Amino acid sequence: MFAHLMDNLAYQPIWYTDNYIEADRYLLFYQQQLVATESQQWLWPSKDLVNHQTVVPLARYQDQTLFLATLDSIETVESVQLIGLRRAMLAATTNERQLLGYAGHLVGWMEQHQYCGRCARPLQWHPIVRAKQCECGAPPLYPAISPCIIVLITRGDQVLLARSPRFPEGVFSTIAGFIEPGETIEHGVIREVAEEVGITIKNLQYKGSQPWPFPHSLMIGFHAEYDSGEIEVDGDEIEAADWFNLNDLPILPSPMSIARWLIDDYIKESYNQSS
Amino acid sequence: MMYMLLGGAILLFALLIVLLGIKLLVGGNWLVGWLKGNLALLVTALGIGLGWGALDLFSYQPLRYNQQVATIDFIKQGDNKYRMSLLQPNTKLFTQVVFGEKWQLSARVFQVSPQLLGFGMSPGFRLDKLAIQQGDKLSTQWIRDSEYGFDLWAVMNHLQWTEPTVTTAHHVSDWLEVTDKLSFSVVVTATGLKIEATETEQ
Ligand SMILES: [Zn+2]
Repeated sequence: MFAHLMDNLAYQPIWYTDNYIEADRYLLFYQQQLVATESQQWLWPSKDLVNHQTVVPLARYQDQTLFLATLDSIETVESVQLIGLRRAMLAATTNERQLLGYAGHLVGWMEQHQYCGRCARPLQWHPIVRAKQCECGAPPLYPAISPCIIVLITRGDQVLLARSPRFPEGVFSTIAGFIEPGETIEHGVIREVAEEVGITIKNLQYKGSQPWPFPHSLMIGFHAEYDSGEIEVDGDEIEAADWFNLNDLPILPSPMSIARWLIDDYIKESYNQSS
Repeated sequence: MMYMLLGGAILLFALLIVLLGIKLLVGGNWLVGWLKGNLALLVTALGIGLGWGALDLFSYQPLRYNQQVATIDFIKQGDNKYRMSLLQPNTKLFTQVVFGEKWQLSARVFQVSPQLLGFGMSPGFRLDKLAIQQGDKLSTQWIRDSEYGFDLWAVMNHLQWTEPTVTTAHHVSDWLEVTDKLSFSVVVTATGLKIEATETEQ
């Protein structure tokens, strides 16, 4: 398993019941984008906070209490810039990235879940746990997390990589897909691989996980060995797939993604074995 | 931060020199005064020059070799037309509409000797230009110019400064294809600029 996953989380989640009532700093979002100062600072002191729609406790981070706010408008906040979450996370440090991913996940959830799914009344914040509730008595609604498998398939010196039509030109990555109701994680891996590239795998090995807020996913990462079959691309989720030699790889996803960790880990492993 | 402090310290020093020059100018009798006056003017000029150079240092960032210092991406807006965004920590997002197929980034670096490194002084850098190639047409965009009309790096570079403690270098990346939605990470190495395509998709 990836050793760095055992490091402490960079932040500690808080809620109203955690006695951190005063905010030291705020993370501001406007239409799912991070609000930053002109010089890329995105931890705002309270006095700069205006015209917010929702403010909730977020986390303890580097000895500060952070609150999360979504803004109705940014016209009254002077000299700001909006940065997409992906871009902000790419440019951030590892610790900042954890915090941003967490905040981004919550913001997405807060904006998507404003009304009761049973009676359509506006949802209220639950007083004790981080959840929303309705006066009609529907069960409390917690932030949704969607489990998603991701798997690197290898065959000796070769790795199977595929590209989705939404990827930029030239980029290939590992096979990934959401778990379906009723499935185990293992079944999910086997099914996704069969659906997307038409092969079978063996020796499935868990490598680690990664929260991924695009959108609200938890990536569950595996390594597997090729077993049988010829690559047959589904043409829908995947537009091309191939075996790539480790010495001749295409453009890979960012080093901040578990897809890349899986690939880098295998490269390192092969290198160690050959030397 | 380091470069801010250094710039600030030199600025303070320069101010002291200016004050000294002015003090020399106004005090004393004139016989010696004429000589003094010349010296004072020289000292004042030196102070102003030094302060000017210090202001220019504010535009440099401390450099950590082999670590990502910026990300750059292009979002397609039309035929050969892209919105380019360059994101550097603690710096204003630099965004511009560009036309072309290929791009190249350059950076200026102040390299420091191991002795200075030992004193906690870090090398500094500034991403300076983005070159875009469209057909056989080449256009260059300043990312950051010397705002105060004095370019310390250029002067040192022109003089081919051989003082072993601080030297200048200009790093230029390879030419890269402009690609829609692809994000590139910018890394300064000891010998150049390394730019790699990265993608936030899984
Ligand atoms: Zn209800």
